[in-house]
Amino acid sequence: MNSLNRFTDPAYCLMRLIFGLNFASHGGQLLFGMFGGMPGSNSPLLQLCGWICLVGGFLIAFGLLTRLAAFVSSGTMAVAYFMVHAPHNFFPIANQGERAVFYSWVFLFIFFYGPGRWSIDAMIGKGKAAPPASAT
Amino acid sequence: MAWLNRYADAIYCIVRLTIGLMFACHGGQKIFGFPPSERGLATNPTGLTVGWIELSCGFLIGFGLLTRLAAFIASGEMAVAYFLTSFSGKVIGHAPTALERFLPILNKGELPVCFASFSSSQFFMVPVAGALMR
Repeated sequence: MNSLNRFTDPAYCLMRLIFGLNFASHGGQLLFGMFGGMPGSNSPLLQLCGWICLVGGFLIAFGLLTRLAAFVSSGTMAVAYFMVHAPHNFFPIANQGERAVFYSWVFLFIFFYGPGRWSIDAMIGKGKAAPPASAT
Repeated sequence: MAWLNRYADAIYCIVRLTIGLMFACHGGQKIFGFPPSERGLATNPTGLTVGWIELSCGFLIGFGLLTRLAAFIASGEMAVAYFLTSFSGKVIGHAPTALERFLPILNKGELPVCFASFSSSQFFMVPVAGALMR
């Protein structure tokens, strides 16, 4: 099964793209009222959250400044989970906070794992430093 | 920043645990009614199959046993779920427009997309970042 390891980089890139673009679409929803908008999105806190979602989502998706963007986005989603969802119920499945949990944890993993080889970061950094080891 | 990679394994373990248990919760709701939900237990064969897949694969993914196999089955199941319910417009309750078909945020299929993409990436990345299968 180790033959599957050579697909690690494309698979990781695809995961970053899917999570990042979905996350960015929430930013569009909060900031520009796209996709039907979201009630109460003109409060300053949600506007801030919207900018983080939009910018962070695109940065993560294409792998530019990945670690920084992932750290900020992960923190935002953790705050969102504990502020908005956690008071309602203990289980994420019941308090509608599953997606916040998902984004928070996956971005935390991206923060630690790095941009991977298929990313803008790796293209810029080529020659300067070796890309992050995929097999630790 | 590459020093952070030293902790990637440990973090991956926690991420896998949380997401696996969240996945198992979906199965638990359908099979045992726990965590409690107003939707009730699954009764039809599809619901039961899906419930058992979610329950067993969720725990396997969470604790990292047979992770690759479990991730393969889980991502396949979630992909099918996405195309049968969200992509086809069953969740939003009307025939989807082209935009609604392809944007998970519009067809309410973000969660299956998250599960499917996480577990399919896991299918390819397990030995890289999960200690037990090495």
